[in-house]
Amino acid sequence: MESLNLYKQYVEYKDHRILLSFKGAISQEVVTEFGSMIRTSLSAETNTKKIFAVFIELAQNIVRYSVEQEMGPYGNSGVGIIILREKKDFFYLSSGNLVQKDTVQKVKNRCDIVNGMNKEELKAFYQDKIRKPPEEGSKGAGIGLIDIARKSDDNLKCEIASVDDVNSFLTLTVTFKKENQ
Amino acid sequence: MEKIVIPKTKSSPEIIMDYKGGLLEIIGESYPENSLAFYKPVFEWLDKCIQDKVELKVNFKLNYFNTSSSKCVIDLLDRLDKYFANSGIASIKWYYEEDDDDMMETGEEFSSDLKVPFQLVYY
Repeated sequence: MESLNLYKQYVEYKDHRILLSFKGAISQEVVTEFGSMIRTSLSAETNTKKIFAVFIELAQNIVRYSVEQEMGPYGNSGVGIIILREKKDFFYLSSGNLVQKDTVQKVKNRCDIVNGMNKEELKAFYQDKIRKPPEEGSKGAGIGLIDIARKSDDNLKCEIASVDDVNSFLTLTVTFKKENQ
Repeated sequence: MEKIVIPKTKSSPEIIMDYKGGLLEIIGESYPENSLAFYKPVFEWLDKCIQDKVELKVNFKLNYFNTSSSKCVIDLLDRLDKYFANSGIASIKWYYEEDDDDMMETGEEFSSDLKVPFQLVYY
């Protein structure tokens, strides 16, 4: 069996300044635990609340929408990956999971729509959507991406990699400017 | 009807529903796995109170809620607003921690179209 090169992983995590990462089945329990790790590791930051809130939306999206679903004793979970990185002036929170090819384009379109809006337009869009029934296929309020965009300090980065005929891998990255400089 | 208390969990708030005093309180953090299922008993309790024309006091004391909970919060506010418009007696207090501008602004945003008495209170 090929052994896992942990040192290589270590160096990569160090070079990319990865503060937290999780790959696996994300259940509500994992959401809660990882959420409190975010709060602990960023406790000195003023925008921890924002990062925490975006984390919850991204993680619950994986639970609900990842193609890879697992049924556990405490409810269902979705498989995905979540990484929090730090750079000089920014934090980056990324989530990745498998999505069906016909759904992934819809997510990309939604990202393009919110990326084309300024904060005031996003606020109006959010207020309009929150009182409307969620779109077909939505398992939540259907306003997660709008809320994420309102809290992000840059456009949402939506990357799609083809996996096979059926699925793509969707990566969403959200940017937060460090505030206590 | 007995007073109902739903204890808080790591991802759901404490809910106090006191029919006699007409009091509904939602305290803590709200990001349960399924918000609609979680808030269902609250809606049922509220609808019963509205049907019985109970004088209602509703306190939101939330530190954080996710977007699917926000939809439930808006729905509660709208039901109270409709009750008030139909001559029901109701008032809402929206508590926020003193330095929590986001929660204060959310309260302002959510109440901007409401006619029912709505008060922002810091603690």
